[in-house]
Amino acid sequence: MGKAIFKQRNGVLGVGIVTPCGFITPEQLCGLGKLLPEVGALGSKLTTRQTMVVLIPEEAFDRFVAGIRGLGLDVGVFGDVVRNVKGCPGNGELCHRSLGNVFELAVEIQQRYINQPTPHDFKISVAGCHRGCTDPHCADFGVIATGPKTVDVFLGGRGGSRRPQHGQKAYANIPKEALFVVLDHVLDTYRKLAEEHERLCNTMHRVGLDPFILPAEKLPVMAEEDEFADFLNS
Amino acid sequence: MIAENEINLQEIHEKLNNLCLDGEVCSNCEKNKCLIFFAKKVASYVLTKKVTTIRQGMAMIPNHDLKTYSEDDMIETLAMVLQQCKDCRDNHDDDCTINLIRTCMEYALFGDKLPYQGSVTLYLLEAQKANGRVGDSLKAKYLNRKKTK
Repeated sequence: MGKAIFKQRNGVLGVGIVTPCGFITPEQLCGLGKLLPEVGALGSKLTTRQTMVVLIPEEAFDRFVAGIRGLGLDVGVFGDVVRNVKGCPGNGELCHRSLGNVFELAVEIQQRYINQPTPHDFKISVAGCHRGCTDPHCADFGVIATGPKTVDVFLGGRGGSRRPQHGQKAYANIPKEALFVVLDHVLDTYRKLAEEHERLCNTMHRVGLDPFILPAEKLPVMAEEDEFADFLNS
Repeated sequence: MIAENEINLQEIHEKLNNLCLDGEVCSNCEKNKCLIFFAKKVASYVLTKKVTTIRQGMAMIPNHDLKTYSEDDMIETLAMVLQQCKDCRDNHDDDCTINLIRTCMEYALFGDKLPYQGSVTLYLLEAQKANGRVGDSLKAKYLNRKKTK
């Protein structure tokens, strides 16, 4: 467990800033525009995980952290924990392609689970459709909306390493409300079954997918099918 | 997979409404055993609920409806539905509402289900294979609609 603070080859610190799934307000952006020169930042880099790494001299660290917190931002997390969530801008106001309001869902997942301890780093990606702009197949826990109220869940993906792999579809068309029940179950099972520092895909390779699957009766029921049947008979 | 605001079912809904005779000619409206009634309900559900898929929708299609429908009307409606298909290819979902209506028209026209691989072009080839004359007519109607819209 730790903070996203990385000493660079040239001695400066790379400090990861976490936002709600990459969303930064104009005020925060302007605030960063003022803060970075003030703390002598060398520059910043947008990351593939929707965070921003700012390069600052070590002695400016405390001032920098106080500054970003004043803007409603924070230092990201790193290590064997649930990382910040990657979420696409799929909601009622933004992306035209999105099948459901997943941006709000992704932000909620991040707020509830970020920094929880796990056997190895645990990455979550949420996408509003199968185009998968946030690479949900490459995350330990990938979520793809299949409709306004339903999602598919993929487990055990990883984008990096010498053996990158796509996640396996573990839950199809479950109601959004069931997602938190599923995520709790997956995390609990992973903590119980994983060997030390074992990535989820490797645990799944050893024990299979089954222990991570909750029986249907333990998931909240989706009303949609009955709803259409009622509509059909009306 | 498509987003709700990408599809326009208003025209299809009106066409299906006109096709449905509300039991006047059928003498006894069997509602859920009728392909047109089902397709009309899907279109109406989409317009009301703003959904793009209906889970288990495919399993609910009344594919035992053996009534004879006007070939010209079915071809025209099918062409209309194909125009709304977004060529999702690998992301094609059988329970997509466009696919559900298309499948109803397909049963009414061909009497059977044809393979659909998420591509209008491939579908027109399948239709041609299933019935050369109907397939040609469907292709002509589809291309004509595409040109004029």
